[in-house]
Amino acid sequence: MALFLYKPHVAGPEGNITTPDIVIDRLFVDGKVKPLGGLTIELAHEVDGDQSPRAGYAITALGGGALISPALCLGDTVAVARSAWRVNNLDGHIGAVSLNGTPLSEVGLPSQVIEAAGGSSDTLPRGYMLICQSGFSDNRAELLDNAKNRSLIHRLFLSDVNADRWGESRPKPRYSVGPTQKEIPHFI
Amino acid sequence: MKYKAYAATMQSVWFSEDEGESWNRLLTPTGGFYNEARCWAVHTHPDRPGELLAGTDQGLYHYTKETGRFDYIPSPMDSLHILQIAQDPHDPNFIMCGTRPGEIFISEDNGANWTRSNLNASTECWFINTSRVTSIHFDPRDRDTIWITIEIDGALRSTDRGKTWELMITGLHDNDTHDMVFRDYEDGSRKILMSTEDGVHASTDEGRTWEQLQIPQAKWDYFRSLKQPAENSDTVIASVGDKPSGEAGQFLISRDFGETWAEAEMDHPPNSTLWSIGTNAADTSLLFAITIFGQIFKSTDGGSSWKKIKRELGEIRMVTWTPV
Repeated sequence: MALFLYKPHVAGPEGNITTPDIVIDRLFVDGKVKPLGGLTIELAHEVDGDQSPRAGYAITALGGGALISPALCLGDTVAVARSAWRVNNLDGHIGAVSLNGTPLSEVGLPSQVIEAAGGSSDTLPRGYMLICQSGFSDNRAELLDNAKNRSLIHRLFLSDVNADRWGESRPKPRYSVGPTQKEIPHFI
Repeated sequence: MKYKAYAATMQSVWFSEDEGESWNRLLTPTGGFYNEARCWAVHTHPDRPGELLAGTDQGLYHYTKETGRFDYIPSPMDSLHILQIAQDPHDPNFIMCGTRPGEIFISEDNGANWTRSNLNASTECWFINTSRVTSIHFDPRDRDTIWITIEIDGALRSTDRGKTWELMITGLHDNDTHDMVFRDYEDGSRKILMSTEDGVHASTDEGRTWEQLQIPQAKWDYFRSLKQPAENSDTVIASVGDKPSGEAGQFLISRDFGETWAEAEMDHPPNSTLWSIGTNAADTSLLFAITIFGQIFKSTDGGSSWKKIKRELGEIRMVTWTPV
């Protein structure tokens, strides 16, 4: 019964923003089902060694038409942006939309990704999120809509899993102090 | 002077453009964030008229009068509760946010990049379970120094713009701290007042030691907001209540920076603790204040007297206003 609650900000063509909350219960990456546990909106991630994210985009099923959002895949982690457009707002000028400078026609058109998952046009089975990865590695995924002069940017902040942010200054264990300023050795 | 007032509530942000008489939210379909988002913090900066930062349970948001909507600012705080927001008075691109659990996040580039400060706040607390940042203050005299209050962990000071922190609690009767005000005198001396669950404490040695003030006019010990309508002035307004969330409250006003206090007049009894006071240096006579259970009070005489606004807003956590 796993699920992921996705809370995107959907920018319309006139600049208005809607904020649906969407329950995702089926995740596909390049057509293969993946565990929902790898799906996240967190921006900061740890990497081991030379791992680097691959830029892509996410298509999310939604009642008023599927959404498209920038996404980055890092190993088994799928980091999806909280910003999105409606796929149907790109109708008629999808050729002017690019991912990190590469036209979506080369990366994979949303319509093709949707149809491959059993959807049609801009509709998808309820609860689906589809990830289309590109071939390029980048910490940043940018969807650029040249026709409407707008973009969606998703950027990850990576740190070495072996690096301790506190270093030698990591605080020593201490018990909390109660409101009366008396040491409270145990209060649970 | 025309102004706009903002209230952070458990149903997002409410705006008033008619001196507090009526309050409205942005439309859910176009406003940029969910109108039932829990919002704890609203913040404006004098160098950025028309702009507002809002801290919620779904992230940090930025409103401008040009867009007329909130835009989401990606940050590492999306899964936390953003309870406090502050901007360097001299550099609005330097933003600090305080959260629950008690953490501090800093952006030096107007929200593009964020750093989690190495803050050694308590990780578990009596009564409230989880620590939380209750106020953030840029030191009025030293730009590198920043003060925060945390419940329940006392006061912390950083002298390197948030990189490291020092706990400043000696003499406090209570570590459940809420707010601070500063008074720098011409002879170079300084006095700091801090509100706590157990009254107001004062320090004359840069927070190294604190002494509880005796305030016989206070009906209760629970002091929440402390505000100086004018920067570095002797006048301080305190909001007080019987407890959190409480059933009663009062305003106290001091005109000699905490030496003596008097109770301010109110035309209506508050329904819970007076939680937040909103001031703006653009007009030191105009103040807004709220109870946690939705009442809004307004003062046009610098806090000496308060009138309740008819409109109520459910549960409110912060109020502020800014000229437009």
